Amino acid sequence: MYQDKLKGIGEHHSVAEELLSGIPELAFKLEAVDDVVREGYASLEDALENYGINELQYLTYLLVRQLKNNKEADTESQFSDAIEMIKTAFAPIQHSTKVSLRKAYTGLSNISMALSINKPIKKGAFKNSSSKKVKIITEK
Amino acid sequence: MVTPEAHIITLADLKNIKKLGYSIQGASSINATNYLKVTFPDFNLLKLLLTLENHLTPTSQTDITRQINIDTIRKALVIDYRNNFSGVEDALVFIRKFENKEGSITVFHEYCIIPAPFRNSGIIKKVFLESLKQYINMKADFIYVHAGLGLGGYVWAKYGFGARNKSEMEVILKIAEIQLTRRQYSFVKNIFDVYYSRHEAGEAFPIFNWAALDYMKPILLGSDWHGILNLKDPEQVSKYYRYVSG
Repeated sequence: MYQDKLKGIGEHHSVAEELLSGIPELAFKLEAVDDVVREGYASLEDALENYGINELQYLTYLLVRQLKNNKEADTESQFSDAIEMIKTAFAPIQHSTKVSLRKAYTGLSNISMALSINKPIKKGAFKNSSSKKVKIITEK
Repeated sequence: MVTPEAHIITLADLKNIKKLGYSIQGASSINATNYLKVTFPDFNLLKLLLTLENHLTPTSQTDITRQINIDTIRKALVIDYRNNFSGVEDALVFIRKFENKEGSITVFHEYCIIPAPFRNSGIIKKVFLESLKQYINMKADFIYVHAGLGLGGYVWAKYGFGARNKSEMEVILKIAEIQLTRRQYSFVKNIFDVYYSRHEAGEAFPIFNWAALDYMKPILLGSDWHGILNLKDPEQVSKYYRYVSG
């Protein structure tokens, strides 16, 4: 019987290989990072480490995905989304041993929160890593 | 993306299917037409079989046997297309089973293999794209696959199928425990633990999250498991479409 000859083969691996051809290895890893974090299987920090992805690669993935999903977004929405994505991609900074980086991340979180609830950002609310006040230019 | 197309199967379709060399088992042409119309509505069987003829048939050096099996009691349909092969290297086999259980259609990807010289040549994408179109037409719910031994367990995991059987995942996990570092194993096990704590009888374990880990590749290469793809999940269908149309 042909089933005996093909026992254990099922859908042949070469079929999957052909279907997956052209998809870069990095794409699988980035999708996996996204999934394990979204589903709560692991923290972003652990996911990035285990899949061998750095924050900039993950940020680029988030930006490209956002671009695909929302090509028509206006400048203001893009700005808000970009801040939110930087915050998401660099979440591991919250646990940095450097106080200045943790402070910068907190500042970014505050900006992100303010943008998400459409509240104006208070001038001088954000301090950068050297603790100097950063001016936030608002439109007149 | 794929837009569903309406199709009403006719006696002329059946006649053309027979002309391609298919024998139809389990029902007369009239009964088969009526049965297919109701059980797998909008399925353009002829179009799918023509795709096999155009792309797969030229790859075979030996005679091809073509059969359609209809089981009106189990509400099933089997496409059995295969050549007279001597081994895996010259095999051309395409076997698909369709089952309608109380209105829910499942497609079983039982066997698909093409002769070695034609692998990775692009013809499989054409067959899978047409297959997907027909699954969408008939509003199928799931695709089941058997990711077999060899490299199958690894590549099909990357493809995005969920793993149906917890026991098969436990086997993989046991090997992982032996082969991985404690930190690596902890990451892998956590995905397993969290998923099954939420879905005790879960039938779609996200094994692709394991497959994307470099250190899991050698373990998954030797694995054997059964997978599922939910055709009602837009994200999964979009991914599937991206792979078959790329």
